[in-house]
Formats: sequence, C-alpha cells, structure tokens
Amino acid sequence: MTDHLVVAEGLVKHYPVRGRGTLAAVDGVDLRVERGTTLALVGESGCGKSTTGRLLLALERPDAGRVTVAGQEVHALGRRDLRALRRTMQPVFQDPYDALNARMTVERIVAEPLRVHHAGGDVPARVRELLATVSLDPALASRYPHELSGGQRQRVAIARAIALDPAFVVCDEPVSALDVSVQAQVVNLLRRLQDERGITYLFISHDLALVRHLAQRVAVMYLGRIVEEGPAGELFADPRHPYTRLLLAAAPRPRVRDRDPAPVAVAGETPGALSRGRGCAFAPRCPLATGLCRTDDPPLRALPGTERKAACHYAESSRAGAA
Amino acid sequence: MNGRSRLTVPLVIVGLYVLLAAFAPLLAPDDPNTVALARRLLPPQAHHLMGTDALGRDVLSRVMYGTRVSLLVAAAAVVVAGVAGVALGMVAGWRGGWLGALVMRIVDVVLSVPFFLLAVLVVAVLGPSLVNVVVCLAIVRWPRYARVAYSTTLQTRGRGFVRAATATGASGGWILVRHVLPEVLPVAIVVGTLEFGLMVVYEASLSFLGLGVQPPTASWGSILSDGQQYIATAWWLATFPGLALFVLVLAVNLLGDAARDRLDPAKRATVTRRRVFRRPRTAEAAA
Repeated sequence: MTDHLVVAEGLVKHYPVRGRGTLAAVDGVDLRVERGTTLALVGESGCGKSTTGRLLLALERPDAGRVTVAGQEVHALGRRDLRALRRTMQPVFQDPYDALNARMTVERIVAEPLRVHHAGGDVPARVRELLATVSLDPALASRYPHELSGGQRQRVAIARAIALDPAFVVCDEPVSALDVSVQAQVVNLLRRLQDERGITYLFISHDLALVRHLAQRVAVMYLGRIVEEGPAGELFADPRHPYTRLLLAAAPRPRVRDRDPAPVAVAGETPGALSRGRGCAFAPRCPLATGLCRTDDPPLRALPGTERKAACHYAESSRAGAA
Repeated sequence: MNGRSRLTVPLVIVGLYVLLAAFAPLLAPDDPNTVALARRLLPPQAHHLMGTDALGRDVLSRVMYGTRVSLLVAAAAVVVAGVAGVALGMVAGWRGGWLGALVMRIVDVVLSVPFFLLAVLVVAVLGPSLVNVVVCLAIVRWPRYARVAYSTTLQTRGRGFVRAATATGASGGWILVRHVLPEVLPVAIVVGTLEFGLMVVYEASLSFLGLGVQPPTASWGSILSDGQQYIATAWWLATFPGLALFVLVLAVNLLGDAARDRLDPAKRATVTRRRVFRRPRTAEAAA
C-alpha cells in the first residue's frame, strides 16, 4: 500500500456569476499525491488548476468533497487545528512580486511563518540559514523585494514556504513569471529541496516540458475535471486522452530539422465552464468525437493493463497519432 | 525640493505653530480679551502688529490664542475620526458580508446628510463646547477614512502576500495589523492632512454659528467671521487669521505628502541611493 500524503476526493467549487448562473471551476476532482513525490497538474488557463491548489491548502472552502493531508481532513478542522496543520502545507505562487509584501524586508518576510507559530529561538539566524538553503546571500536579509531580481524574489518566497519545514508544498506556476534562464535554477532548487527534505509537491503548470523532468505523476485537467492521470513517463509516451495528445502536440519544442513536427494549436475555444452540456466537455474540440461523445459524458476510469486513468470513451482504441 | 527639505520645511512650520500655541500666554503682546473701545479698528502699527478689532482687542494676541483652539480642535477631530474610520473601514473590508455591507451603508447615509444639518443636530443634543465640537466633527467625518480604508483593504485582501500569510496560519488580526494597515495608513494620512484644513474651517463655521467655541474665546474662525463685516474698511481683521490658516493648512498638506512617500520603501530607497552615489546625471538629480 502506498503512502498518500495528500488525498482529495470529489472536490467541487462553484462560483456564482452575476446573472449567468454558476461557474464550475472545479467539478469533481480526485487527486492522490504519494509522500515525497511530485504530482503535476497541467491544463490550459481557466481549467481550475489554481483553484484546486487553493482548495487543497484550505485557502478556499469547497462546495463538496474532502481533502485529507497527513491523515487530517482539512476542511473539517476547527480554527486551531487548521492553524497547526498549516505548518505542514505551504504555497509558492506564480508572481513573486505580488507574493512578497513590498513594505517588509526579506528578513521579516521569511521570518513571518516562524513568528506566526512562535517558533522561538534565534529567528534572524534561522532566516539566514533558510536564505542559504535556497542559495541566496544571507546579506540580502536587510533588502526590500524591489531591490531583488525575479529569481531572487521567488527564492525568498520558497524560503518562506519551507520555513516551517512543511511536508507538502503547492507550487502554482512557480516559474512561469521568470526568465527562461532563471527557470531552470528555481526548478533545480525545488528538486534539491525535495531530495533533501522529502517534500511532496503539487506542481501546477502549463509547461509540459518542465513537468516532464520534474513530476513522477501527471494529472491533466480540462474544464474543472481530471481527464487523464498517470505516471509521467507513460503518459507522455502514450497519451490516451485526445486532449492530452493535443496539449503535447501544442507544446513548443526546439525544431532542429525542417521535417521535425511543428507545434499544433489546439483548435477551438473551450466551451466555457458556464455552459456544460450533455456529453463530453471536450467533444466540441475533439478531432475524434462521435455521436456517443456528444450524448454521454465519459467518466474517469482506470485503463486495464496500465497505471492510468482517462476520461474518454475511446481511450483504448484511439491510440497513436490520430490527433 | 529634495527628499530632506520636503519633510523638514513643513515640519518646521507646523512646529512653529505648535510652539506659538503652547506659549501664547508668554508670547502674546496683550490680553486677547481686553476690550478697549478707545483703540477700536486701528490698522497694523508698532503697538498692534496686526491692528485691533471692533472692540479694540489686539488681533495678533487673538490670533495667537486662536491658534490653540484651532490646532487642538482640528488635530483631535482628525485623530478621532481617522482612528474610528480606519478601524471600521478595515474590519468592513476584511470581513465583508453583512457586517461590511452594514458599515458601508452607514457611511453612505452619513455622507449623504449635509454637514451642517448633522453638526447642528449633534451640538443641539450634546450642547456647545470644545469637546463636543471634536465629537461632532468626528461623527461627521469618520466615513471619509472608512471609505478609503475599506477599498484599500479589499484590494490588499486579494494580494499574494496576504494569501501567503493566510496559508501560514496567520490570524485576521495579525494580517490586518502587519499587512493591511501599512497599505491603508499612507492613504489615510493623505486624507487626514486634507481633512485637517477642512476641520479648521468647520470649527470656524461652527463657532461662527455659535455652536462651537463660545465668545469671548478666540479661534481663527471667530476672528474671521468678526472681521467679515469690516472687510471693506478694516482689511487686517480677516487677512491675518486667514493667512495663519492658509500657511498651516499648506504645511500640513506638504507634510502629509512627504510622510506618505517615506512610508513607501521603493521611493525612500531611490532618495537614499541618489544621495549615496551622487550620480552626475543632473537632469535626473534635479527631477
């Protein structure tokens, strides 16, 4: 039996939209993250991946479903217990500018979690230690965020996130606001921290190339639901859901020779989470859609003979390159 | 003006007013309330630098004593209204829901009632006195602060650093004091300095109507309104208290501007860095 640090079951989050009903940002999501590993959550913008991350961290209340972190049901906890549990789960956000209070020094920013939880001891020394851990010069402690580069700021945000030695960190697009040259450094830092401290990540991203060498498992999200989930290698080598295939085909990659395939755009727009009709939500954009797809919504189901799940009627049959 | 004098010049001016008010009994050349009809309406001269009023009272002495009332009432009104308004606005913005809606509707109601109607009502209930003028001004003006505190809190609530603090388990009070208040304060200070000038004028208006400071106690407002009827024949009556008011309000506004900039580390840093490195780019240094 594998040890799942984070388990989400049947998560649902609806937002009321004035005069137009509700928007189902997250519409029945199940996730399991094994301790010490990385689960990548990928999908287009607006598919609900960030909302899922916020639900896991109890930054928002789900309308249905439950989240268990380290054996504790997050949304059922009282204020005091939740506060204690927050020590074990921390976020790293996309925009390191917005995530750091511009009126505080790096020292105060990184020390905040320690002070909130009355960590005691020599806080300034602990802060310098944390800065060294994320490969920042401890002398930066007296600087303000606007004096740092984007990569340095994101390191400060990571130092704050690991200050309380959390078991679980949700990284919400942690490098997509950074220069490409800096992205690799931050990603390597995240990997090193995982090796050293056994941190479990939920890595939210739209960058499949990044996910490929960071995550053990990948969940593909489309319009508030998981459409395919499985071990990273297997899923990238042999995607079973047409949406996954399109995402992989759309990802930009270096073209060395002219006959290398050019990236393909995913045709059409998402129908919008406001108007989910009958049938598969991907059917309007799917090159393989049949009459069945337009009337019957395929559930996420385990595919025999693999470790994978996919939500497609033709997950077994529609194999290679049809997209 | 460069970074330093932007703060010091208005600070010195306000300091002078405070000293003037504190030591009025020592500095004033004459008793402000001595009536001497023989020397009524004298123009400025060696013995009466600002002339005398219709009852022969020395205007300079009255302006000096008036500074006490004006400063005290305006400062107290700004502080009481500011603290109450900022606290209520922040809680309304943070909690939202029915509580936020309730507070902001009260704000709308208070702001929709004309100032004098409300002021007359409050003073009529409480009776005219110096303390009640402050209470009255605070009741009428706190919604100004509440509005800016409310909207700034709403904006800040959605920022990443607030979410990060929530995620570490910080309580609402912690976040309000450490993350939201530093955003609200600079805005509230600017509102406060603008309000300060208005409070001086409002106090004068209330005193003019007999709802404020009671005669013969001098305040700039009462001297001004006394002088109003002689404006064509005795210009000094309205000019000097008006000038005193003008300079004070200007200094306080400049002070508020400079204070707001100093509360912003990004702006503060550019000022210090420029001073340290003395970059020779004159166009930028002059700007």
